[in-house]
Amino acid sequence: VGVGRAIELRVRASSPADAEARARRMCDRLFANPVTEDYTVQVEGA
Amino acid sequence: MQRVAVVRFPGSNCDFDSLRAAAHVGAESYFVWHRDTDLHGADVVVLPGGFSYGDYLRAGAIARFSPVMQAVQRHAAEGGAVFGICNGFQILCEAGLLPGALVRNAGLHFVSKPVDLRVERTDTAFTSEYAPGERIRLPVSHGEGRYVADEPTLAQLEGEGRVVLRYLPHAMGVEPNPNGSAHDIAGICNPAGSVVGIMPHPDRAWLPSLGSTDGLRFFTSMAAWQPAAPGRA
Repeated sequence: VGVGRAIELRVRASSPADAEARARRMCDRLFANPVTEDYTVQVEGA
Repeated sequence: MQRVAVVRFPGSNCDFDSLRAAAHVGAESYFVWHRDTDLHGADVVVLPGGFSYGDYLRAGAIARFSPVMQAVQRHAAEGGAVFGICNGFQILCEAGLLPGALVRNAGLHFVSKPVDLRVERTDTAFTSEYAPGERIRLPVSHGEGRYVADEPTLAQLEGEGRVVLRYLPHAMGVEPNPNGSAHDIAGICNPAGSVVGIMPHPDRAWLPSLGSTDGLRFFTSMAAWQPAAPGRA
């Protein structure tokens, strides 16, 4: 059994890479605790 | 006289317990609000138990971003003493002031009961009046108290003697580790022993009428503590 959470973010970014970098910063600082949690980031739309 | 700032977050619920305990041992204790950016000349900061910001996302995850925590970070960096009790310990880990994390109890249930502990380190700001290896009993009251860290971190904590309090293993007549914490860890400190986080509640055991005085010496130790380096703000 896997349990987790999905967080949908809308960000204004100059490129998909920029959007991903910002999402990763937010994950590292708040959305995930890197000590105990892993996360993946998917960028959609444009 | 020691100036002790007790931080109140929305959802703190042991703030008065800590304030009264600090006053009881002769400290000048006062509340600091989570929006404050100034600790008003505190020698010691207490992060009390409770459910700061409703424990949303993870216990302590949002509290670490509060304005007052920037001041607490500076205070700790300058050698000031910080004591995180229960939710305060969770906040210290989320803030990176202590390593590791506190996750859901192994038994999945909230536990609220007295447990037996061994005081492992006594040259900290909050345990100097205990004897090394002394056995005490304190209440715990938490749903997320299982201490976890990766193996190198655990080895470092053990190697540097930074486990301050340890639950006792299962045995006859013992109230043992209630949450599955790694290495039976109930509390740890920074290398200097000035920042200490523990899950049990000495703030609920410092007066005979509370049923126990086993926790009193955390506060008398705090009142006697002197910073190692002078010239703090």
